[in-house]
Amino acid sequence: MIKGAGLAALTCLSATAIAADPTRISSGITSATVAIAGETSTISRDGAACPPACIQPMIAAEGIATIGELEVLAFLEGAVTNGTGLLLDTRLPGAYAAGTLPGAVNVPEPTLQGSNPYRSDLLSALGARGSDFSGAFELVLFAGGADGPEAGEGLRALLEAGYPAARLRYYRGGLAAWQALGLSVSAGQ
Amino acid sequence: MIRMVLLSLAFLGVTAALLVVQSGYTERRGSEGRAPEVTRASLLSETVGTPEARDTAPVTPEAMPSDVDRIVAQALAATPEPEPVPPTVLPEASPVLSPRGDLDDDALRQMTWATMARLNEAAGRSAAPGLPGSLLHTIVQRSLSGQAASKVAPETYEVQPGDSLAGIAKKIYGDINMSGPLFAANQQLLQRPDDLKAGQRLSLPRQ
Repeated sequence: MIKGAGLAALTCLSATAIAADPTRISSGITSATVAIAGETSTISRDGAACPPACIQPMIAAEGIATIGELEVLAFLEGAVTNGTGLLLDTRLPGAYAAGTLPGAVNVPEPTLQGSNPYRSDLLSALGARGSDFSGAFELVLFAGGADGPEAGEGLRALLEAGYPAARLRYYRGGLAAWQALGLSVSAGQ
Repeated sequence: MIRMVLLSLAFLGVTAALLVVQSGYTERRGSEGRAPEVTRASLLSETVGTPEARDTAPVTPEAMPSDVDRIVAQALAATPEPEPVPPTVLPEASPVLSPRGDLDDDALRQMTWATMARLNEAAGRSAAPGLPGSLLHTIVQRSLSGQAASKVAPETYEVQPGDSLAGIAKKIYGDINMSGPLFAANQQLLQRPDDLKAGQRLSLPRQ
């Protein structure tokens, strides 16, 4: 199975948390070191800093599936086209207007939080009837990229509001991964 | 006698026709313009169930949308409900208790209404008039939030040399008929309508 077994690799991935902020990679993680066959290299991150651009874990919350581009395409062609699903861009309206996935609807993450006194109205627009979510839309949430915290936070807020995890999915790659693959982008409505 | 009978028959006929047209109209509106969330019970329970709707004084801007919602919901409640959902699934008081955070401001409210309008549009439905997500509702919310251009006039006006009440009324309100209210609002300053002195500060009544 493992090719190049001669490399007797001892991999040690240690996350060093340094009190200095920003932590760059993700919450509490500034760099990582890997040692293979006696050679040590360090992984650090340039450019965007955390917070706010924290690299997100693969799983947003328990029970919520994380999906990739092919699943997003199938979701757009299936549930969204049939009117049973919605692809939600959780970024703020300005970022959404600049460019988003075709078919995505802008639902900014702050509107999903429990601190929004009008959230129940918003949940109604998503098909919920009070605490009954049987008629609610299937949702796929995404943000600007794998380092966009909005999607995960929006998903956790929806879960906390009672939205069933089975109706929620997380497109972790977000707009950045979508664009990196050369897939079409449309201007937000 | 026959005339009387004919007359009453005609009256009954017209009444029946009007009733038929009326119910047909509401049915049509109910099937086209009805968003799935538009049930009286759910709306009422949500507005009643959220603590801020109850606890806030009725004049605060936060409470007013709920009042408007309730009034509009009651007004529209006569619409027939074609939704096949049996009444047993009507939700009890909403468990979503929204604690007030720092985000409770006009921007969040506007963002929520705009989001709901987009959701309803994306879902291929138009919310019933006046209910959340509808254009009317958005307009009402905007005007309630005080960001509409309601403050046309400033609060006071400093009289310039050569001003007349009618001139000020025309200048501030664009309406010479406002000189009457303007005089009435400044009677502690002005003995007569032409008693203007440069430098006086007139308080400006709302139009």
